[in-house]
Amino acid sequence: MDPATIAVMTLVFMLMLIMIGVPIAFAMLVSGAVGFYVMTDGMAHITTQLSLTVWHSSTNFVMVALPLYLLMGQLITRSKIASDVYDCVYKWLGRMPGGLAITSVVSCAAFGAVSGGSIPAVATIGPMSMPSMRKYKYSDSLASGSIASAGTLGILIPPSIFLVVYGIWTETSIGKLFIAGIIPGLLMMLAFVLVIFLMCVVKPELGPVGPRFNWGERLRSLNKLLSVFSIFVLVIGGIYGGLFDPSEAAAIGVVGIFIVILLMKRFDWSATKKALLETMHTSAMLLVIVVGGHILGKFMVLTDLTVGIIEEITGLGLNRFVIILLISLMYLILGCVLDVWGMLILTVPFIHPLVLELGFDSVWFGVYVVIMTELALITPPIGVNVYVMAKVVPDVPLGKIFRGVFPFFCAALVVILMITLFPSIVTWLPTIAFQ
Amino acid sequence: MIGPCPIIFLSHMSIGKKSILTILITIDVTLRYVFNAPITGGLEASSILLLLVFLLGVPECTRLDGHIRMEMLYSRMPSGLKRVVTLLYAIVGISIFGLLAKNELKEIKYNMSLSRATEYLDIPIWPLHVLIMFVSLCLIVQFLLHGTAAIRGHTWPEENP
Repeated sequence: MDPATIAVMTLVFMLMLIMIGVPIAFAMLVSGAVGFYVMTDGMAHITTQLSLTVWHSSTNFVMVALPLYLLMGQLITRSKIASDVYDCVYKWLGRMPGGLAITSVVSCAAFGAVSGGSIPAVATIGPMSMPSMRKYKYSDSLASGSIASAGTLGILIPPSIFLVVYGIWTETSIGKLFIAGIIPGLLMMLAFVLVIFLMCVVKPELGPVGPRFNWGERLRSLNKLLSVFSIFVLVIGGIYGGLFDPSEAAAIGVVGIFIVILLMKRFDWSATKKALLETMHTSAMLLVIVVGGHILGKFMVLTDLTVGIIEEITGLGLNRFVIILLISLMYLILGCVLDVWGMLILTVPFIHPLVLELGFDSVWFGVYVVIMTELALITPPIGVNVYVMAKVVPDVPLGKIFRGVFPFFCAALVVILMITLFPSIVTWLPTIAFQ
Repeated sequence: MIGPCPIIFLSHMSIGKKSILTILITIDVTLRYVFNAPITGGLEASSILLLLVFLLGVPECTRLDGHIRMEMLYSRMPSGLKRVVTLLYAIVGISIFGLLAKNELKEIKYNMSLSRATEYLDIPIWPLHVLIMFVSLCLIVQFLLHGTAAIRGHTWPEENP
């Protein structure tokens, strides 16, 4: 049997396992193992590969970033820092048309700038902002849709766990990826803000203006932003300034948050313990995913399937933007059946080499793929953020939240179009930072 | 189900190591930039701690069904089919960690025979392979019990949070 046929059969086998509900990492591991067995006609090769991959993945210093950024996010989530951010943004932006929804979007972005997750942002900001939006009679659809969508900003604005895993898999500089995520993240936030603003200008009843605060109250509230601002500057500024690498920045960030929590007298041992346990679970889950991805990737190299796919696609003579358009459509469809991790795991090993062959930058693709997978968080039927939001507001039907998300989904597509047509939006900042 | 106690013990070991890892890296970075004197072998110690952080957490993550899966079909399956998937998952887990444990045994013998140790801190390598083998064996027992439970008509995991 020729290697390409073995590779295709292995992939079909893996997809079948994933479809029926075998955990994705295990499906990749066993498919890679079976593939290795068939290709090399023996067990020795796969046992050695498995052992080597576990060893290298678990002792690779770059991987330090994973548990520590996860821990940063957990500590931020449990330390009530998010409510400080919300309170400050509320006082500054609450008076605009749709101001409370805009406040939620900006708060989610600020939360993402120190936590790196999406679901925690929705679960934290949602309960904080929904009561006031209800008090001012905001449309349920706009209120819940804006928070569910804004949660996705957390996985694009650095530090982002998804960018860390992408960087590890594709051997792309995590520092560059983090810096590259800043401008598209801000663009996405502005796009969401603009959507809310325009909707509420056209139909003011969707999001009436909030309470008025005097300048004294507003200026005093800036104090509350200090903790998040200082942690962001410490971590991202440290990477940007070349003081430390992203893995070291993660440790510095964790210590920074601990110091902030202690200074604010908010240290709670049981919350810290929960944060550590939750981080441990997610880190272990990610380790198995990384190992599975490496095993499958090594098998693919053995079969030359990826090279074959690239030759076939580039041989079609299509314009590279047409191929990106087709890839985007594929991601939109995959987003309906897979979650963020599933999409990253299953597509990056194949699409990344193709995109590089088309002349796109690896850093650009990292940001692009994270935005594309973000959409999976808000598209039906999976849309995890929407389900989290539905738990926050159980009386709002799921359909209404999905409808509320639609304008933000369109705004995200516009941002994707912009970064595709003008890749320097993504690559400019990291190029300057890492000259 | 392998008793939660040993697994929870391993997971607590993992979170303890994570705290040490954070402190170690921070001190290393601080010493390097402020005093131009990094800890000798700091990177090596971090790598070993990272291995412990990751591996000790895997059994607990597996016990809590923490590995992500595609829920679309699975969540709609009747319990009989779910048990078949659990059995398949258990077979996959046993195979993977069985292969890993087998190779780790080889690595232990090899590293002991050569008395291999880390470059800066001179920490013997073989105990780390013992740890990987131990974690693999824990997982094998876990998967065996899950598989057996599936055959006997129980859904897994019973204590799924």
